[in-house]
Amino acid sequence: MSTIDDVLKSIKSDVPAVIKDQLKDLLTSAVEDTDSVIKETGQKLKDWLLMLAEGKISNEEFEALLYSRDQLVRQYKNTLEIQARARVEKIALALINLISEKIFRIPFGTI
Amino acid sequence: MPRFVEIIRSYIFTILIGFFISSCALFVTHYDATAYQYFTSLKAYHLKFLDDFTANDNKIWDETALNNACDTGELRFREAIEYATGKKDESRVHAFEYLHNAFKSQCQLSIRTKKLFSKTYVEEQKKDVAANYDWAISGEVSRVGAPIK
Repeated sequence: MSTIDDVLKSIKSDVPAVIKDQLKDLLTSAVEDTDSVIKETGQKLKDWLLMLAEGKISNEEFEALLYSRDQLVRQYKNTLEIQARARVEKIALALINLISEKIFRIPFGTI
Repeated sequence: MPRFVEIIRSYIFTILIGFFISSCALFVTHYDATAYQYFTSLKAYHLKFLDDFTANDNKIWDETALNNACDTGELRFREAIEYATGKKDESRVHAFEYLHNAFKSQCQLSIRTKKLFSKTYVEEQKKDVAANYDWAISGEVSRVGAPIK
């Protein structure tokens, strides 16, 4: 398995050291994250950078993979929001129905 | 005493209505079987598209076939997005857009390079495309009213 240092060595030498340091920090935090999608994203970016350096994928394919991952992460965030909001609705409605219909016998459904 | 109970009931009822209305903004639209079907059929189409345009010994890059596949995909995505837009829930529209954007970029990649996709690229790309659909489907089935698994 490739290490982050292998990835950094594979990057063109004209990239400023400050950018490489930033990349190292971000990749390290991503691969150590507890969120599975963040962790997987860090791992995949590491692998794709090495594949690019080794000529296994072209620049255009690398860009397409990055864009596709960007859309996947946005999808993941959207799904988390849907799940959180649906949970609120399920609990809130169950609570309202229980109090209004079962405890106070208010004909809530007819409003 | 009964008058007191009536007042308390009305008071609680008003609070409940207020709570219900104020929390409506947090809600998402309910599960939609048609949207679920769009997600699953687009997933199958998208993954087959990647397989069909992957390089192997017998295949050559065919611009007409590629344009036809991209146009068909474009139409299918537009139908799904149009349907989702009618349901008045941006989260579902976004879910289709994130899939559509990925599809468009893969079409553009082959059109721009005038080449079939490499096997290594498709191997990586298919995992992310499938996961993107799986998250979208997971969002749909977590909505209120989804069939219990």
